[in-house]
Amino acid sequence: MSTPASVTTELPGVLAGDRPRRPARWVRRLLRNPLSMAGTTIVALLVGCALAPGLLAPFPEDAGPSVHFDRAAQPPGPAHWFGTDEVGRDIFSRTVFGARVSLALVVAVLGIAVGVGVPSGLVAGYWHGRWPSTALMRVTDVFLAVPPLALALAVTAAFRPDLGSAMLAISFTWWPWFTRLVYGEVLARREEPYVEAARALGQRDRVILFREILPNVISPVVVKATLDVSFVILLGSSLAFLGVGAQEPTPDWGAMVARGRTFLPGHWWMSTMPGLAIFVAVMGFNLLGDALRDALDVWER
Amino acid sequence: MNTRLARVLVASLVLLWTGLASAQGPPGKDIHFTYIEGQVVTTIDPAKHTDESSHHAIINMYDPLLYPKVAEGSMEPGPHVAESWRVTDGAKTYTFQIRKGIRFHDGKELTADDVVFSFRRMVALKKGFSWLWNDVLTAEQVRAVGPQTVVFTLNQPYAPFLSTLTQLFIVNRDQVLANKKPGTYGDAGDYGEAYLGDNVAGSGPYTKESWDRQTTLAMKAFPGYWRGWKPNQITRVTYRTVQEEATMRTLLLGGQADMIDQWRTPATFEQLKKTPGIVVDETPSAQLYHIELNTQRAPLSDIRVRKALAFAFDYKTAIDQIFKGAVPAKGPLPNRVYGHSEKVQAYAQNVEQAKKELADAGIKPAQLTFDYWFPTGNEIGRQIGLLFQANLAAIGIKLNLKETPWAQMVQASANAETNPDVASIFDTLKYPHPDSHTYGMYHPSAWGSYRTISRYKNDEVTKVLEQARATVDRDAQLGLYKRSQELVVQDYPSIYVANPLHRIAFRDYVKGYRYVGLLGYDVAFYDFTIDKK
Amino acid sequence: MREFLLRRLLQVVPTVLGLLVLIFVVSRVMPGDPVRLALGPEATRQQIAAYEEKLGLDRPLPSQFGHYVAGLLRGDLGESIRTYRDVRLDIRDFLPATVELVTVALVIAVCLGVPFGIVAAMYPNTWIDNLSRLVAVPGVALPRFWVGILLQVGLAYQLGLFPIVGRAVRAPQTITGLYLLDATLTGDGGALLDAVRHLALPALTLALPTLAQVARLTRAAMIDVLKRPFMLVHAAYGVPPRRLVWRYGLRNGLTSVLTLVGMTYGALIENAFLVEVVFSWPGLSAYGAAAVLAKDFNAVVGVTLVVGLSFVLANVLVDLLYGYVDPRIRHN
Repeated sequence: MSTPASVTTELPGVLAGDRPRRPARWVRRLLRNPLSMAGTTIVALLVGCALAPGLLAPFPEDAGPSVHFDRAAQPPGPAHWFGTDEVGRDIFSRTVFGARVSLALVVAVLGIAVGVGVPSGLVAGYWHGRWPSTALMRVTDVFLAVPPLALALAVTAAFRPDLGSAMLAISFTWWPWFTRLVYGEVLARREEPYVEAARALGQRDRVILFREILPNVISPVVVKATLDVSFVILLGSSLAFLGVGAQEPTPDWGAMVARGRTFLPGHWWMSTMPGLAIFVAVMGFNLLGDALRDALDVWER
Repeated sequence: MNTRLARVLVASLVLLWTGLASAQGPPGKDIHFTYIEGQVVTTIDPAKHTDESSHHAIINMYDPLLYPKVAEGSMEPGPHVAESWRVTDGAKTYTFQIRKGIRFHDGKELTADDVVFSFRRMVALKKGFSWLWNDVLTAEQVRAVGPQTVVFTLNQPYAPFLSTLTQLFIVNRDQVLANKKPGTYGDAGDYGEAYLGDNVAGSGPYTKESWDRQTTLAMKAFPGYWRGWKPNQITRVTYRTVQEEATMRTLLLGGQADMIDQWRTPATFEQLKKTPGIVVDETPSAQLYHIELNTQRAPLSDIRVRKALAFAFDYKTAIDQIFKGAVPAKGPLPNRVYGHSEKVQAYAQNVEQAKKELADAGIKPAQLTFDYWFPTGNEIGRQIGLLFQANLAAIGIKLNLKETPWAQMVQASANAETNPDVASIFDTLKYPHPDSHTYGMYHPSAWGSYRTISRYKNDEVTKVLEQARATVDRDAQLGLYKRSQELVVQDYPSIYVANPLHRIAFRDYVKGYRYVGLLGYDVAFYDFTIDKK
Repeated sequence: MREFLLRRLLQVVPTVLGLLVLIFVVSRVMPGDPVRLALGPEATRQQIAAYEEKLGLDRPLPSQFGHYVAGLLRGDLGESIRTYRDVRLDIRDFLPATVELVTVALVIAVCLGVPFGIVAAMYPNTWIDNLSRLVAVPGVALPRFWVGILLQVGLAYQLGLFPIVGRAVRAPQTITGLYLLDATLTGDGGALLDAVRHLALPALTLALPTLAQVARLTRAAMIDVLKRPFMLVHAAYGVPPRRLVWRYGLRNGLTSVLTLVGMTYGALIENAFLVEVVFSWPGLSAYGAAAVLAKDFNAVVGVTLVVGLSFVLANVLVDLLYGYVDPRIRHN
């Protein structure tokens, strides 16, 4: 069991010890394993695609309003690595730009899920036994009882089926998992000696929550968030496949797979290439998440 | 015991004898036909259908009062259940003679009472095509004045009236009432709503064999059909729903389907045309593809802005590359419909003119942003949107594409506040009369549907249309409808793009296919003959 | 045991109620004029108002909810505005297809995944273990709709080994609605073969990522169990290794596997949506997706309810099995 972070930082310098300037243990563990190296590389590449797609895409204008009917439906070749679609746009370039949509979705969804889930979990866990906590956990149970895809679809039916709705819908279904995780963690640490000590010293509840408990809860939340990235990408692309995704001409992997289906099996590349991107992205984040979990040495719940 | 047995024997012999005598089914062998449609059949109740697949089911299992003259290649209504009619009293009274000898599937003969019952049922249930007779007729104004005579008394003359009767399908009154459940329609109970949701009480050439709602409707020939049967007609039909384009194509190519529906992409038809053994029937359709512009909201309320959009659009690329061949639209009425004005011309692209119109209006292109709505999954709407987006970007206007479920588009067009500004719409002729695409789109009373997203209001046009509807003389009537088209086109309420070619693919042994421009009537399986060597 | 059972079942009630409220609110809040869509664009205001009144849409929400729940208890799920009949009948027609698909996928995932995981755990870091890693790691990442398309293009279109779409060309007589069962019960060999051929690709597509997941987690659980002291004790007593694993190890590792199965069933139910679309499988999700697009609110509520309830039931079942297997839990 690791020492609670707050205790070591409160102690005077000598007792805390001057920690040596080496990269943290978890970073070293991360880079040791070939699988985790692969994961890190893939994720780095994806982030690169999202931040600077213009550098990597040979035909960046094809991610915007442009049509070239003269080069429509070309199979993969030297000029167009992934081929072109039915209005002549380069699929490789569009796939690179598609990373942006997926990662934006991830940031939005996990941002909201953590932003809502962690505080509610803290509150529910700390004041466990009182009725607000129980009520909150019952609400969480209800949300957890509905399969995410079905609920997300039902929610998007209430709005226009575009990327914003997808973000909202998935966040709607995601926050309970974080609440439950944090709730469990808080329950476990509530009776720890250092918490009792803080209470005995007269610290207010709110301060205890944020100073003592929260820092120790961050680790599992980070791990879960990273592992969740791949699920969010999968869910997002599934929704886009079913029709709830970014609007044309913005490239969205799931939507590209769905539109390409009309042209199977003759023009197979229109569906298979973007699908490949989804697969690689999900796998990359999976590997990274696994590696991070091992490196941070947290018990799996 | 013996007498009882004897009685049973005699009874069965009699039944066998009468059965043999009356069963004049299609001679020759059993011919099975598989047709594939991209949408499910939502209902088989002839008072409720609106979509194409349900239409197909009903055309084959029921008979309407009048039928388009398909055999003559015309969409105009002709005799069917009604043998003849008289129009009197300033075109307000229609007296129909009902043909004798038409039998329903259960053997009962079709009479005037069934016609009256069917009409009253449609109007009472208020679904499907019942709106055709709003303001024109009520249930009491239809009466049977003899066993084979029905009189319709209209409130005022209504030019398209006869055309609308192609949607009045006759149900078996006795059969329906025998199976009625408690309901809100007085003596008629639920008007057989529950019963006709699953069963057929018709007189059409085919009867329902089985129906698995999500995928397959199986029909078989009704031996006692009043028009009789000839060799090589279809005896069994499997009407399947498959939603993937690629699969439908493969099934046709592989011989597991005999015909697939008309809504395939141009790319699919290109491929099928080149395949031996497959025929692609191609004729100009009575369908309008246009981009509607909301004339009630600024800046589109300014005709110069609308003209700018119309001049910016690349019609040639749309027709050649996206539709892969279509008839350029000349105004709102599809070119092949009778009553089309020769004076109306197609719009053409002129980028300089587009810029000039905006300059005249004193608007800088960068100030303009529009949302282009198109139905989810509509491939052509999407490609046209991408093209239009590129065209407008070239003159500095921003167009946002909004793929929207059809349900939402329908709902949005119901109110002025939520009405789309720019919408991609396919509009098929509702009934075989020019009134469908003039009054139905440009008279203010029709506002609130996907057909009237343009919310067009021009008092002169309104007057002309109302006059046209009330005019009895056919030539004068058509003259007025032509005038309405000429006036509308000058106002640019839509960007009229094309009358897409109606294409449908089937195997080469299918003969007798005829498309006259009306939805559904081309897939009447009774009209086909199969010529397999 | 009985007390545990009762307690657990009772806990389900507030969850289900909450589920109902959630779904009902979402569906009614859906802006949209499903009525107008159903009646056609030319419907007059009176026609629309009449139909709305018939469906009870003009009453305030809480009243509508009460009305709906009362109907539910009677077995009336409301009328679908697309098929014009009780949603209950629609669900009855389409649910068996999804149940069959999901169950077969579950069987594939568990019957192949668990042994795979156990074997990998028994021989860590050998070629078997590495093979399982090779399958498991990418396996979990495979988007189901993509896998479905790949299998469809490769095995169905190009090689013609399997039918491309659909559930059957020759359906057996309907007894339960589950084609495999019905064909067996009626002794219809042709229909059975037909059903199996149609089921193969969709079930495989649905099962693959789950199979990888199951194998991976079984391996982890078994490795954990195999390390425990009691295993060492049995080994010291001379129990042969295979028996050690399968008889002693598995029973203790069973709890983790059970949780897995419970989670899996739920995930399979909802992922069936995607597979059904790709293969035109006439199941509940195809019906549900169409309902969402048409804003057929009674149908949407009905479908989400059924899916949600099966989720809840699957979890309850798993908990009960937990209680049965691990005495510590039921006496807690």
